[in-house]
Amino acid sequence: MNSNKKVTLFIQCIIDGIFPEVGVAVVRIFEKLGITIKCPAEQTCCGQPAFNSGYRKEAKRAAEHFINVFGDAEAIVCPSGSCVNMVRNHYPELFRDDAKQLEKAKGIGVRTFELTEYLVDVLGLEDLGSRYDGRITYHDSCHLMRGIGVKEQPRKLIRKIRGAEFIEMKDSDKCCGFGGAFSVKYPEISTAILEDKVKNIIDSNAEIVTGCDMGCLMNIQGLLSRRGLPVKTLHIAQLLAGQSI
Amino acid sequence: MTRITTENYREEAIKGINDPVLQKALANLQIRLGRGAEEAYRNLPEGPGLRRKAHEIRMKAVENLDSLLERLSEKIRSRGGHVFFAEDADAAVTYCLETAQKHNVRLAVKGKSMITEEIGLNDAFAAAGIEVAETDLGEYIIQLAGEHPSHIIAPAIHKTRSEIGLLFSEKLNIPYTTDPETLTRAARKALREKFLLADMGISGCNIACAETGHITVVSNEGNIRMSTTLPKVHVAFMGMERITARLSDHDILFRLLSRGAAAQKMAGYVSYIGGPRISGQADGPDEFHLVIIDNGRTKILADEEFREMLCCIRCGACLNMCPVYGKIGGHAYGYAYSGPVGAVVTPLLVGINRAKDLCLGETLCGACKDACPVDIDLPRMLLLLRSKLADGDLKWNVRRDNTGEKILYGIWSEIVQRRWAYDAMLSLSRKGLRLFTGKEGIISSLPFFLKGWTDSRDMKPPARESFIRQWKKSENQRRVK
Amino acid sequence: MNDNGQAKFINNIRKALCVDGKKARPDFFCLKSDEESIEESVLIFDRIGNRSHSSRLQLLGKLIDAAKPVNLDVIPVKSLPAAAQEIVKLACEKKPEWGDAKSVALWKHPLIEEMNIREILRKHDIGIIFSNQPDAGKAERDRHIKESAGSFIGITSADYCVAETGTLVLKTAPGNERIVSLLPSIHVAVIKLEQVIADFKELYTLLDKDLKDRPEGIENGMIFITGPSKTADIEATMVHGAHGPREVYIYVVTGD
Repeated sequence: MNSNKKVTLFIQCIIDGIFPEVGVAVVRIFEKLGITIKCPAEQTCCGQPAFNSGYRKEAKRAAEHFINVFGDAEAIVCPSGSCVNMVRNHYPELFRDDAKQLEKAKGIGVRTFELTEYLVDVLGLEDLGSRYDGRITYHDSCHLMRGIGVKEQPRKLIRKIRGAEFIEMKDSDKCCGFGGAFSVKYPEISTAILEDKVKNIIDSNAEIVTGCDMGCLMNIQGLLSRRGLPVKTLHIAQLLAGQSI
Repeated sequence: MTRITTENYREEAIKGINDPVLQKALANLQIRLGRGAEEAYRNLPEGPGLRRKAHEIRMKAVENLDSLLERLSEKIRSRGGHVFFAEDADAAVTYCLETAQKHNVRLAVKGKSMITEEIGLNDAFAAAGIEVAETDLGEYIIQLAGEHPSHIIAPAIHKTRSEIGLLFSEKLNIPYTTDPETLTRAARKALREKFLLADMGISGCNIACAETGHITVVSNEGNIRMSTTLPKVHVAFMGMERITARLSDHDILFRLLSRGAAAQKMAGYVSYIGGPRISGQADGPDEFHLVIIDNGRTKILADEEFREMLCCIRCGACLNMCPVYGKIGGHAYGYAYSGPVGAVVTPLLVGINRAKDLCLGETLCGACKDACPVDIDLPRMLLLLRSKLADGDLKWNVRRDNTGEKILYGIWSEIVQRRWAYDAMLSLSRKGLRLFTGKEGIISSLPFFLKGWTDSRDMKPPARESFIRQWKKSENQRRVK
Repeated sequence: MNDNGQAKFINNIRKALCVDGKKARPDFFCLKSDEESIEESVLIFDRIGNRSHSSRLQLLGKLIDAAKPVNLDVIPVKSLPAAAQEIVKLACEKKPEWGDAKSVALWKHPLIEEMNIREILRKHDIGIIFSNQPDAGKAERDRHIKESAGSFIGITSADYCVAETGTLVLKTAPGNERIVSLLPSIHVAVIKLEQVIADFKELYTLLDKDLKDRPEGIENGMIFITGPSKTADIEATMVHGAHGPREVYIYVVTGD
């Protein structure tokens, strides 16, 4: 069906190091679709942690490595909205004094997609034949929604999951309080914002909260776990790969 | 003296978070005004895209500030008004004080004006023995209480009706009540007397018009109209960037300002004022003074990357959508400007090191940019401020904030270029964090700078095998097959 | 000559903008508007000028709808005498806010003169306040202001009324004081149907033209008034009547 498409996977540092099962789910999705996946083993990090903390020279090193590793890939797919936002919207800023690199950076930005963006906008799919029974609510991560403009695509995919009941939570588009280093540097403020998000999740009566960014989900899961709350956190890839809890 | 307490950001933030009255008030405010403004933009005949047009109008004005200010002052002077150009807060305050003393002013009435907070006008007048009565109800309340405003549009948002009832019964000698209408009536009466007695009226300026040579003042209460019509002297303070070129610009600017500030289609009162009373008019001040203030704005203007910040019309829309402001309230920001606008403008005006918590203590969610009626890219400037703190900056006189962190990121930047080194780092952290991993495979306590996370949250430890390692293994198996 | 710090200030701005003060800068205000906006203005003028009576009545309907959420009362009346009757009824019904004596402040304005309301009000023992000697000196002006502060109704006309928002546009002029729409507890405005325009785009297009034809009208200042004075500063509860009028009535003479 889609055997002429090739996808190069950028897995994201958080998934690579802490939640590899999400990466496994992403691979399974493309295998089910009959699409060849490449995954350069030299990849590390897009540079966002350094950039967000103001360390642009250091972020540039990471970005240069990214551009080298992913070079001429036809389509780079990443299960992290914030990373795609970094590549697409901030790489040009990092290389604006270097015309050649800037060219490469712009070029790679156009070819880098967030997972649900790729599935819905590029492949034109909504129904992947996935199955999950239960009540699901969705968290809009900030960079995905405002930086990449992805809001409807994940919802379209969730709605086609057999057996799943999709519930919109209150203020799904409000920040969860992660903000990267902010979560450890200003933990009281981060937690206060997170408390609201978790309350909205509980109030929605969902059994699972999903999203497209493990940073946010890790943050949400952290509080759910500490409070012993029964809601499970799954990346959308895990739902789409038909993974049961 | 201008009050600056930006160093207390963390402490004040925690106070705000633990104040249930403030929390409830902020939550309601953000629904009513924040979500309200969102909907109001959607309902614009031109759609939310109109904000981009407004941005262009503001930028054009900022880039031609010299001509516009010359034109404005020429027109005001032609009508017998006075225009004073104040390089800094002291110059502005001194001019106003001298004008007050020349006219033997004993009582001045004042409309809400953030720039007068910025320059510390009230304190200077108090020191000189001149009473300045705040007339915006919220400002009046907190003046009576001896506090500072916590929001640009709703300064007394942190006070309950019972607190206000107690305050009024004590200061205005009325029977204790918590009914907002009765309390408002009491303030109406008390302030009406002041309006009629005052020797001087003080106001800010929302958006001046260079073409016609007017300042404009906007309110819903009518207090600014009172303050600028009744007393014999009117002194208006204006940040130098608060001007637009043509009258027709106001169509877009006022429609957006009203929606952004208070989810209204149009504010209650908009006044165009260009000088003292004209002959044949039975009301209006005999003298009109416009004080145009720099106080650090030229420096922002000179930096092309921050110039956009001068487009701001101080409407408070960003506060109404900010998740951080929504939890910590206005006092944490330690200066006249709170919320996302404060997070950018305050470091630029008082010192980036001094106000570092304001730009570091944000999630960068971007809601402020979407809320801004003139589409200012606040997150971009927050990131820029962070880069100046990371590396230091000569032009802005910033010293590097955290050398240890710089070194760590330096090492990190070498590691991320080499997968083998990255794998080693992952392995090391995995082994290290095993010490902190509990029985159920959860980390409930992290060391050093990561402690903040586990104070309130659990953490999953790094996986036994990274995804890339698993991938390499399965690739090898595939090759063998 | 003491320029109050202007030269140095403007020079600092020019330095910041990297602009050479000696080179002429484009003068915004003499620049001809571009073709597109001239065309747009012409279309808008035509639309306003050729508006049919029934379209104007439709706009009035929109105005009445817009008035509700801002607590504004819009009352269509057939004629100026009819408006006068309604206003007098209001004056008889309403109680003064400060003290017991009833007095009404008025603009000197052709529409208000034509209404002949002074006589009717006098017959009902309601005092009339208008400024007789505005240039007679500070003491006289202060007295006039204090007197107006005791009035419970202020009657003005307006230059325009924006249907989309319920906004009255009042240009400051001799005899048309600001205090008449500010100090009394109730503000009454009397306008003709033709003065109702659709939105702010139309308003500013008309104001631009006014600026060219009759600049003094705008030179002297303007106020836009949208409904009664209000505040929500106490626990976000809306209260009408902060410092300005607590009630606003617009009588629109339709001629029907």
